[in-house]
Amino acid sequence: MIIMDRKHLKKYFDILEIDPNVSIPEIRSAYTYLKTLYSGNSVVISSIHDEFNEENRKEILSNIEDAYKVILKSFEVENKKECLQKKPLSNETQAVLEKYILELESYSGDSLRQIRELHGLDLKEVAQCTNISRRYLQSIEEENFSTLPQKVYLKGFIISYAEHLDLNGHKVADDIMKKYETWVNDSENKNFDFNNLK
Amino acid sequence: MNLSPEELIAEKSDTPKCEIWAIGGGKGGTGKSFLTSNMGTYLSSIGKKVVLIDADLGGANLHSFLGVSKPQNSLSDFFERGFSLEDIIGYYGNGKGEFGLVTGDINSLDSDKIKYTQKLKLFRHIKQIPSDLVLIDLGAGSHYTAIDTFLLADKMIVVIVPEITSIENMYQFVKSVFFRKLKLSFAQRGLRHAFLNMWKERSTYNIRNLGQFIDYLGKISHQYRSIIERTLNEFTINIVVNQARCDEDLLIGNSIKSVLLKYLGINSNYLGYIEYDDIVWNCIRKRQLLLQTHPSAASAKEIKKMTNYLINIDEE
Repeated sequence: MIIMDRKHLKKYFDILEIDPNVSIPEIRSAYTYLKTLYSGNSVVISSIHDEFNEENRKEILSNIEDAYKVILKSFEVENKKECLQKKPLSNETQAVLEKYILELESYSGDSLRQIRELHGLDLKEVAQCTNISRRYLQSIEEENFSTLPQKVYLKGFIISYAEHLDLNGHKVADDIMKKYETWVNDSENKNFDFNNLK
Repeated sequence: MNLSPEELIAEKSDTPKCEIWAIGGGKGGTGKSFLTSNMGTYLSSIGKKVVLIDADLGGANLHSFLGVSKPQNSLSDFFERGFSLEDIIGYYGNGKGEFGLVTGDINSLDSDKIKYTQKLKLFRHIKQIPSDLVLIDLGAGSHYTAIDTFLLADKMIVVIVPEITSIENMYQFVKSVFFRKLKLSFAQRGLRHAFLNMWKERSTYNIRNLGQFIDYLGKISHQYRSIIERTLNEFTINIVVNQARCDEDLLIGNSIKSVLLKYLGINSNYLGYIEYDDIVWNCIRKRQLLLQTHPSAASAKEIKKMTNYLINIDEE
């Protein structure tokens, strides 16, 4: 087994704006954060529109993507983790799946679960391929928002999960984030502990 | 000898006697004076010698935030009557410590009235104030006086609120400051004209923004690249997010830090956030200092934390 010297990866850690000694969840958070920031329409990006164009947005996003892949790869070598290829679906299952999606008005956590099961995947397999923890995946399916991380991270997780199921990640995320917003508004007894957020 | 403005600024003067912090950020009403007054009095309460300078052109009212009356003399006396800077510092006790205050008035920093050399004289004298720290509260805007005063500082602090106009103005301000600093770095190596010519000709090379201009410059020669790298290394912006209302607002600081780095190569620290709080509003209305009247409020604690960070950062 080759253990990668993380110093060689400094360039990639710099792109993700993290220290080479951080743990996998921190790497994942940094990646999700940056990916969401540069693919979305954050006020922080639109305020500097004169420095920004589609070209450098794409370049930044592809650098982030590459950096994440290279770093994860190095961890995979360390951990010998394998992401199994999804099995191709039978024509019959494919038809059921398409009909199910067609009839769906909006995506929910539960519809993600059903689609995952049609693909014949369990949470562990999805977790290995998306690098999102099983616990988070399960909470997304159960829409158990209180156990999930902050909004921007959550959105990134949903996108990754949905894309793994060959769905339109942004559409799925938008639908589920609407439910998230409702949940936020409902839990109006917001005793924000600002100190925990940073 | 006829020196350009940049060369005049860069001219080596005596070793500075104090560390200078400047608080700016483009837009008005983001909390610059609020932060300056509370940081300043906090520093004096922990035993630092502090002088605060109100460099707001349009509305000098730092004294109101401090709950004191204006000092007898102002920067007008420095410019027009030959007073020394030390003569116009008013000293105030605040129970736990003493701080000095210098105020401008609407006439004293009017760019039409003061000559450039006078401004430089002021800068030289500020560096010679016998104090541990000098905090300069800049007004709104990205005019040359604000930019040059900001560049004078050892620690550059920008205060924003989570609104698009504030963030836009902050970017514009930071870019103007960095551009000025870069021009200065080139001028110090005798490359002022080369730099200005390249900037003037930028459209020929299809350069549409500062990021592309920096890229372009860096590719011209090793010398140019090392000037840019050195300038970037010496340049750090400290970001404060004021009036944060939700968790998304808190992340704005992180996002700005990322954008400045990825688009312009500029380093920054996200110093922290001050949550939106009616207590703050009340304090300002009553001309009271938050850190004195409500020392245990979350916003007060955060200001202390940020100030301590800035004091200790060099020791790391």
